[in-house]
Amino acid sequence: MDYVVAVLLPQLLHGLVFGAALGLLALGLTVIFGLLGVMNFAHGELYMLGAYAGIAVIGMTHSFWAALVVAPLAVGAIGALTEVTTLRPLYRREPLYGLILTFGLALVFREGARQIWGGDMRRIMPPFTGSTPLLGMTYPNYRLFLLVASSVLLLAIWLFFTRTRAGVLVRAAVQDAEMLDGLGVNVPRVFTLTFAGSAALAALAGLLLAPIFTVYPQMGVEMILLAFIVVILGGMGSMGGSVVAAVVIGLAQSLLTLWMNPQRVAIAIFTIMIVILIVRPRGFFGREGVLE
Amino acid sequence: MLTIKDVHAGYGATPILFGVSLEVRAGEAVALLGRNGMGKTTLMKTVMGFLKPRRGTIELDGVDLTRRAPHEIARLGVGLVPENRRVFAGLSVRENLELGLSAAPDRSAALRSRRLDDVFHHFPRLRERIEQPGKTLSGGEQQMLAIARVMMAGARLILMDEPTQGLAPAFIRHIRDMISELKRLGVTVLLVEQNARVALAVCDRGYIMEKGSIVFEASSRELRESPVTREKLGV
Repeated sequence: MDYVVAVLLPQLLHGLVFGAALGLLALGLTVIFGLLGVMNFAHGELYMLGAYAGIAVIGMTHSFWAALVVAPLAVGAIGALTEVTTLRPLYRREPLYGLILTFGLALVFREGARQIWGGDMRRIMPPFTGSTPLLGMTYPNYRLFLLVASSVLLLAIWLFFTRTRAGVLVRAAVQDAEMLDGLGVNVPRVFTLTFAGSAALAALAGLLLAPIFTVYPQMGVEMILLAFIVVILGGMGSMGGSVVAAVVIGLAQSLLTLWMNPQRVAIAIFTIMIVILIVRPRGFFGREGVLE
Repeated sequence: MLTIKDVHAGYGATPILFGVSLEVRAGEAVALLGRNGMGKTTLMKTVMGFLKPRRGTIELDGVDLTRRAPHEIARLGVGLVPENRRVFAGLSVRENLELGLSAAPDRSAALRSRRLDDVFHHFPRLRERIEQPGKTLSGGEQQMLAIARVMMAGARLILMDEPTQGLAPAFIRHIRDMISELKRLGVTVLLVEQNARVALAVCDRGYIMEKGSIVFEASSRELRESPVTREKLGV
């Protein structure tokens, strides 16, 4: 019983918190995957830029909350600019071009961040401290806030996709962008705004997680690999699948660290991904993916 | 209304159309006949702006379409009912229909409900299926949805690509009657069909395409009786 309360329960909650934040990152990735047909390798760098933009805004305003609003907007603008100037000219070519391009963009962003902010580890202080008694243990307030904020955001995203015209346009563009254009929708604009939204979401995840992690130019690399796994397990292009898979991976990662060192956890998680990819190529839910 | 002059187009390095010229006058229904692989669908895609012609002009009431994006062409009043219907499988019938409204001059609630009433008057089946995802509809119902979608837009010129392909006879009759009805409503139709009998029953005139060019043009009555039709289409 002591083990459960002292070790298992906090670790489960850690996993849930991390999984929900990972879901934010994976959702943007899966939507862009649906539009472009390739994984956006630069997604992790947008996550990283969110944390650095947050540090910059906090430096100027001394407010985490101001950063939480401004940093995603700034990174969203970077995303929109990137889409218009680099991705748009490649849409009529093979998806492979997009893959190579986003790989290059990731390097440019990562090394660019190192040039601007240096390679040191940095920290962002949580906007509030303290902890709350919960289920027989005490749990840090900021992590609870993270869980609530991520859940609210995921719900808002779901409402966006199901209840708003803009959300329906994005879903339609994922399914058949050319036909959507033929129906009178300015699809290039849909692509730009979707890319901006996905970048803003990644930045938001980066900034929200920064107070419990550290900020450094490589921080996106590790996260993007996990997000890739989430998208694959979720069924490539399935948004609901991505959220569920994010929570599963968050929990798995968190629980496995109880019994093995982090390197072995990484091996275990990638092994799970490889097995799933072979035996269930459509992910957990077996729905038709965008590749078919 | 639609004037196509000497259009050359293709995919990548592969040319498909070699100087196509044809004309569709306002209020007409015109059939575009020909065997598989002769360039009919390519021509439809080029008119819609999915493909850019390498040479030649396409004009709608004197407005040049060749340098415009598909959504601009749609907003000028051209509606495509594409080959294989291309209904949005993951979206409900309602969402599919509302997307059709994107090319309409406004998306007011009044216009939307008027157009929905119109569409349901012609396709009561769609009203019954309004909240179902597109992928749960039968082929015939998807075809109705694809036609209803461009009616939502209020298209003045409808390009229909093989609307009866793979449908049961009852659905074929329904689609055929619907084309006549569209004509009665003043919509201009350019119809690509494998089924020449259906096409010539509803259209005023027809063109026969072969290897990326127009090789014959005549009234539907002449086409029904001409040996050229039999020779070119093998019917």
